[in-house]
Amino acid sequence: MTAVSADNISLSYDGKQVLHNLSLAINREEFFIIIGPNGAGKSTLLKALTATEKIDSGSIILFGRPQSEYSRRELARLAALVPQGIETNFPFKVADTVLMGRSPHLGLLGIEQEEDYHIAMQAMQATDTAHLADRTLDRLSGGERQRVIIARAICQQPGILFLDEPTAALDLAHQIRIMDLLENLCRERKITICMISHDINLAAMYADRLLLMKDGRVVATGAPGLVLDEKLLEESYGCRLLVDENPVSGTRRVLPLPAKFIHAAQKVSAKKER
Amino acid sequence: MDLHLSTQNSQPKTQNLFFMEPTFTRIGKQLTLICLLLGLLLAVAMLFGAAMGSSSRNPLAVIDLLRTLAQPDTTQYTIIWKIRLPRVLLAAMAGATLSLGGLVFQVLLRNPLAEPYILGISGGAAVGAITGMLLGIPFFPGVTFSAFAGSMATLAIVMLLASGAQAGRKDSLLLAGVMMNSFAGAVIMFLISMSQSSQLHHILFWLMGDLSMADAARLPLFALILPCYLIIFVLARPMNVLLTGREAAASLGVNVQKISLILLITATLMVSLVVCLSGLVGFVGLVIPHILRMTIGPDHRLLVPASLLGGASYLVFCDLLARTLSTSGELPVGIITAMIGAPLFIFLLWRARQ
Repeated sequence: MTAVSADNISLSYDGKQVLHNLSLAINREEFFIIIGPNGAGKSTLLKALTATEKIDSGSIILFGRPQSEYSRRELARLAALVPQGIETNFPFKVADTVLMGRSPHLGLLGIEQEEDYHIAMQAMQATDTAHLADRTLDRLSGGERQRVIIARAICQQPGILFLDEPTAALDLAHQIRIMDLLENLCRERKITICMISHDINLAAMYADRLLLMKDGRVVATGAPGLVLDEKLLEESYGCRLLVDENPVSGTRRVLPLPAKFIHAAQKVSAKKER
Repeated sequence: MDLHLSTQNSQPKTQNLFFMEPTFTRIGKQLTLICLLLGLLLAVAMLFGAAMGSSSRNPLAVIDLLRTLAQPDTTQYTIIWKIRLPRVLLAAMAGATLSLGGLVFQVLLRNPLAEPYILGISGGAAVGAITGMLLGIPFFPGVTFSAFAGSMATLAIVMLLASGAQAGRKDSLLLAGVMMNSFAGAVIMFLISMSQSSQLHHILFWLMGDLSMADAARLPLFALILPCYLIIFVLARPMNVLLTGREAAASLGVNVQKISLILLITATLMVSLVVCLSGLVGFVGLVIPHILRMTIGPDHRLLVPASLLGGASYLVFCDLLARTLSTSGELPVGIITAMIGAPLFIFLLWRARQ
């Protein structure tokens, strides 16, 4: 069963084509991660899938219905987005921010019912942010704020959660914490996850499937073991890489190599071939 | 597939729900409380506004106020109910509109320092209104429409100027507003000096923010403004969501472009109507939303009604000062609001830099 499928979508900004006849399919309850170099069009793809940007051609099917047939509110009940940053000029309380996730489910005047508070509370407990409820957004650390935005997205009760680099600018412990949370949402709450990540090693350990993008096109898609091929990655990222196996998880491990080690790397790979 | 959260998955902290309850902003109770308190404040302000004036500076005049009701033939009765009351009503509506206008622009531009006067929108409306007055077209719909056109044009230029500069968007918006404001000022002076109009003194006084031209005949214009309040109140929740970013708002089901456009036109329309009636009264939209945000938080379902009542009370009070402070005639109310508002604006700017 597919949650989202895109067929031959193209999109251009200011006359520059960013997505070229791109196709993909994300299965329900799948942990799907999009990787690729800067400027590959990852964020634009996410915007197209969440209908934040209009596509020029092609079609997107969301839970069995063309995306263009949904209203904004209907869309918001199916798909939630965790954008890269959230503005904190006007400091809302954490509890009220999370409660905003109920917006697409409320009536005209937007007055919450008991059930809405309950769902918001659950979302905060699931993301371990309940103890922050009374604090304002501008007084949180980067990791805490990211968890609050994820809580708001869960509060929408979506079938699929889109995230744009949720672990960027977080330290190692917080990266793992966010990724564990997302994995838990995917496995326990059956929410399909589609995220962009710059961290290939994290992606390798968590993703069911990866999509490698470059110049607005799909380079490869499939299980991490297949996509994280040394040749494929070196061509896409344009630098020398060390790809080996993570002895703990058994997944691929990718490390960029500085020019000064390229000679040594060639020796290693020559030895391996013998 | 089950798209809903299953209850079994909640962690064992569920009992805490009762502890955590007060953390959400529950709008029902708070709305009633805020409306009661601020409504009372407005009633008191209006009572003093009607009772006091250049002929009776004593606050105890409030007691006499009700006594006049029984004597409809006295001068006292005429002054209070025929002259002061329309003026107090105009002050209340102008204050409410300017304060709400400020609140809406702060959301649209996601900048707590935005305000119709500072952004030059009031100035643009004034240019349009004066052009209309000098051309001698009727007040409604002629002058009001030219004021609306003037403010929309100014707004478009300010937004264009501010969006061009990528770095420091906050400051570039304010700079563009200040520039447009002084440009509008120059155009107004030019128009006035070119004209031979006998209304010069009147126009100049009106420019500084003047509520003395209130007459009961113009109050029905507010029939146009009341629906604007309602539209903005209905959009209070999307306004909250908009403040966390356009992309985030879209993913929460808000039609960002449509709602921004409705808010923009509604706010500009009601502000230019008020400029036609009361001239340039600045900083109300900065002072009131700011004080309210500090006391009741950033939820617009509370802020919209609170700004209306708070702004109304504030301008009635400022007008009372304008009428009673000077013993040699009255001051334009715009001078009072600027004397209070400008220092606050500087303070906010200074604190934002810290």
